[in-house]
Amino acid sequence: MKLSIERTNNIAVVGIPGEDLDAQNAKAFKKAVTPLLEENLNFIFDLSELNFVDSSGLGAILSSLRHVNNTGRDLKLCGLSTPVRALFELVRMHRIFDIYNDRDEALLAYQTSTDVVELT
Amino acid sequence: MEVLQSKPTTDISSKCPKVLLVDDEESVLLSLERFLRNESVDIHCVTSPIEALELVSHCSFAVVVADLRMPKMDGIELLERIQQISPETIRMMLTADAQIQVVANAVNRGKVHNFFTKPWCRDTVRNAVRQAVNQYELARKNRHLQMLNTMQATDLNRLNKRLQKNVSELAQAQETITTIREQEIEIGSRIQKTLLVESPPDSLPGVRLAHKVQPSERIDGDFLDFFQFSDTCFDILVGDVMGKGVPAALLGAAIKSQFMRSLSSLYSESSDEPPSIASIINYTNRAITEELIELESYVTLFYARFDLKAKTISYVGCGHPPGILFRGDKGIQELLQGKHMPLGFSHSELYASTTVPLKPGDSVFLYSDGLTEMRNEKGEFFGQENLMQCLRKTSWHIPELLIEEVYSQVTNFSAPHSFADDLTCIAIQIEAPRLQTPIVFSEKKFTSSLCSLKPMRQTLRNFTTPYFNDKQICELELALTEAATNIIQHVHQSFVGETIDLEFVVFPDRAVMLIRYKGEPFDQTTVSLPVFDGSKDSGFGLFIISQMVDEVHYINEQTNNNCIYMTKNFKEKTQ
Repeated sequence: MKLSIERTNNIAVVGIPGEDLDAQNAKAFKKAVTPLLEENLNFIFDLSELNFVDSSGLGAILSSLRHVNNTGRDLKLCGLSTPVRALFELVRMHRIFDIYNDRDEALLAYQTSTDVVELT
Repeated sequence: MEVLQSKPTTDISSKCPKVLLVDDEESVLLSLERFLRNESVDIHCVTSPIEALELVSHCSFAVVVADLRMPKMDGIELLERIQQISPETIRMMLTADAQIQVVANAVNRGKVHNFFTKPWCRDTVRNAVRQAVNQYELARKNRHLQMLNTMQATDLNRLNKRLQKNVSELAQAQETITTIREQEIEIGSRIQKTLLVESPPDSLPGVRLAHKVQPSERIDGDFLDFFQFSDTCFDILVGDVMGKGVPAALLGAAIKSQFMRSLSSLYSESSDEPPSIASIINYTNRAITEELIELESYVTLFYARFDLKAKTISYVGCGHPPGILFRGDKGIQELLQGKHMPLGFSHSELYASTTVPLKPGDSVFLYSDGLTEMRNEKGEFFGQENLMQCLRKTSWHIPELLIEEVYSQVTNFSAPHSFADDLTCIAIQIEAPRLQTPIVFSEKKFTSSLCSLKPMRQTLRNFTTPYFNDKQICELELALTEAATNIIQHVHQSFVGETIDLEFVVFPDRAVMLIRYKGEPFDQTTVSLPVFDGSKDSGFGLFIISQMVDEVHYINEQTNNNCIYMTKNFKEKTQ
């Protein structure tokens, strides 16, 4: 899976390609994103291209969050389509993730947060 | 001589100990006999050793007293031969010749116990004879006791052997009883399959029908019969014979055949119309009541006639659980309560039928009490209430699924290994004509692979777009993806060659999605509950499915054939 990555001030914005993140490609996504998560960065996953996420896709994103959190960094989500947002709410993941409408909102949230200052 | 000889033969059977005196001189014999006469012994005197041998070989003598010197055969030889014939006889010898060599010969060869010299001392001889008799008697008694002992030991041995044989026979008998019991169960079950449960007619236009009969270990004598009179008229009867085992099963078969006889007798009497169900039951009751009373048995019954032309169901309930009628247009369940006593109680009982309207879209569920009398671990019955609730939950869509659901509910409810009664039930659905309620049916087969997930969703979207809004379709897509992923990953484990069938049935108010697959049934009870705190990134699948559709059932239709059945109502849930 080819992820689109934009790095700005120690924040990586990761665009997940394709319309679906399900059991068929969740492993490919994890494989692609894992080396990136090793970098000492904060993350924004941009889900705006995704129309469909299932429990496997959700599990892969959740696993990324735990990885980043374990090393004191942060992962925010943005661009969730209505059905994807509905799934996150159904399994209460909107309480676990910081979710923003788009990249700019997410970046802004990092800039006003003290965590980012500490990291740099 | 004559006098002497006359004695032995006559008294030979006397019970006193016998003493034989042998001497060629009669005077000696007479003298001896005289002073022994007062002893309580039976005295025999002979002058010839040959004769003496003859006597000894015919009866047993306690004592023989023989003279040493006799013509033809001397005393030593005689006593020696007597010793061979009758070793226990005490042998004594009289002689005038007391040479040491003679005495030694007598003792060594003749094994003589006592030796008297002539002339003898009477007392010595008397005492010796007396002692000899006692010794002989004692030895005899001893032998007798020994013999008794041996006999008793033999007896005991024999008794012991017999006992052992009895014990092993008992064990064998028990084994036989067990085999017979197993055979009885087997016979009962075969009777049930072949005689008691009629298969429903192959084609009944406008009727969808499913039934299931599960004989218990004991066989209750549940029976099920169908009589088809025309495309639009048929009877179903569900019965239960009181009692268990082969007798109940045989009685059930007999009653079933009596119904057939009643029907054919009444048919010939009446016109082309089938006889009324009340007349069939009255005829049968009169024919079998006497026998049933004699057998101390009775039969509960629910007899229903479906008349699709007249759009009615007529029924007679005879001490049997009520039928359950589902009104398709209103979505309500009604009880078809019978009011009569079982068959076999009374000749004079007059059975009458009740008739109610039966419209397309209606369904009927008939069963025997094995179903509602299933007990859980606390000993509580499954009960009619639970049954009604369970039926309501299935929405009566498809008879086959309804039966499956009832069975799985009853099985889940009951304590393990407690299928005590026969379980018999049948569901009949009067199909609604297509013109009034269009039913769309679509199906497509997919390879069991994660690569099929997207094409499946695309197919589903095509199927459902005319009926659902985008949000509802997304929810169905999610439910389908989760269910299919479970099958692909956990049941088929990505083996090549497996397939998944997707069926989509549209009803006026809802759509049903069926995902059919082969393999081990998916057991949703083994799946752990989802965790919502972000600590686990799997385990959400089943929870998601349950939230995305209005109903979901995991059904194992038959060995290896499974189906996940999901319903989504067109009208969204109001929350």
